Amino acid sequence: MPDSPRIDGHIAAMLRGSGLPMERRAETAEEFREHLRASVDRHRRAGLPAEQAVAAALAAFGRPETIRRHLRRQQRASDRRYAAGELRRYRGLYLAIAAMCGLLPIVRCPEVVPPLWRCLGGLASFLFVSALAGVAGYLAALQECRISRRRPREEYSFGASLLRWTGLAGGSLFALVAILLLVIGAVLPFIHTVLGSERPSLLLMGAAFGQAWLEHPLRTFGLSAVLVVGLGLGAAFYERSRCVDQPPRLSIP
Amino acid sequence: MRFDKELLKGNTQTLLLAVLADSPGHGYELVERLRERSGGVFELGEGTLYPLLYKLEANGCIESQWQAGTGQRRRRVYRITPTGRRQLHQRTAQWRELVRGMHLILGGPARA
Repeated sequence: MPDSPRIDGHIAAMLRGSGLPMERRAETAEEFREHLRASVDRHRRAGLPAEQAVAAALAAFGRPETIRRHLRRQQRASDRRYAAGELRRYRGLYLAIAAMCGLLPIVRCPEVVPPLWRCLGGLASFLFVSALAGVAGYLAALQECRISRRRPREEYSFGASLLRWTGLAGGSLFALVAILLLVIGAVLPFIHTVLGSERPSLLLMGAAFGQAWLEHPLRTFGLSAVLVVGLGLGAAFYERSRCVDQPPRLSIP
Repeated sequence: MRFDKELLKGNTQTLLLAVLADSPGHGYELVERLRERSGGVFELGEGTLYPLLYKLEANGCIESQWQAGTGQRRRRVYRITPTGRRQLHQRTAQWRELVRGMHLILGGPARA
């Protein structure tokens, strides 16, 4: 029996916006079609006419939006598992960065600060940076999941993509600057101590950076904004280029 | 019979593992087995079965393989893994304990 266009339409409606990657989508469509064919055959054997058998099979299968919701939830859970795996994989790097940053308050605090307070400051700094690096790494892995899979162009929204990527670029830039400043502050004094040269004053570096912000807030903010929006635009265009014009052929010969 | 969704929540995976523990099967076959073995009590939305199967597969409880059918058609056949059997064993034990507790409160056979 030839496939009913209603079955094709039902399957397409279930998979549209499900978030499944294209390869997985084609397999799922094939699996659903096979299921619906078997269901239609059973209803036909029970004595229903063709159109009624198709309608009964589709009704038993479930509403497209319900199935789509379940598939999307499953795909998101899969993405989260991947991101958590990436987080575990790079935890050594994040912890090393956080440990370096944790040394900052201990090394750079004036002598008048009691050792206990320095250690507490180091611990706070370590926790802050490890959380920041962990969140940034997790979000980046989630976005990597999203961008690495091909999706139909009709599901792509340039505005939403631009907003998401700009937000991520802005957050990442902020995190990067914060981490870099802390790392520079923690590592440079050690290097200069080992090399025997005069210690650079972190306070001076920080002051210079702060001064740049204070003296040229518009210019600094403007440059950052241009950088962030540029990154967002680039990523949004790249994401669009990853989309495909046509969904995979759903019918099986 | 229509159940409150909350009653079935979390147990559908156990049911799927149980029907797969007998022998491997494809999606529609699993629906049929569930229907037959439950005496028609479980009339699940057939389509909602697949996200559960994908989840079980991602968790390593089941594995799947495409098998050639009639003509150019092919079917994805699922089979339970040793991890899935262990999960099924644990879930069955938990379920029996839960049923025993429910019977003690609601009345009925205390031994499930």
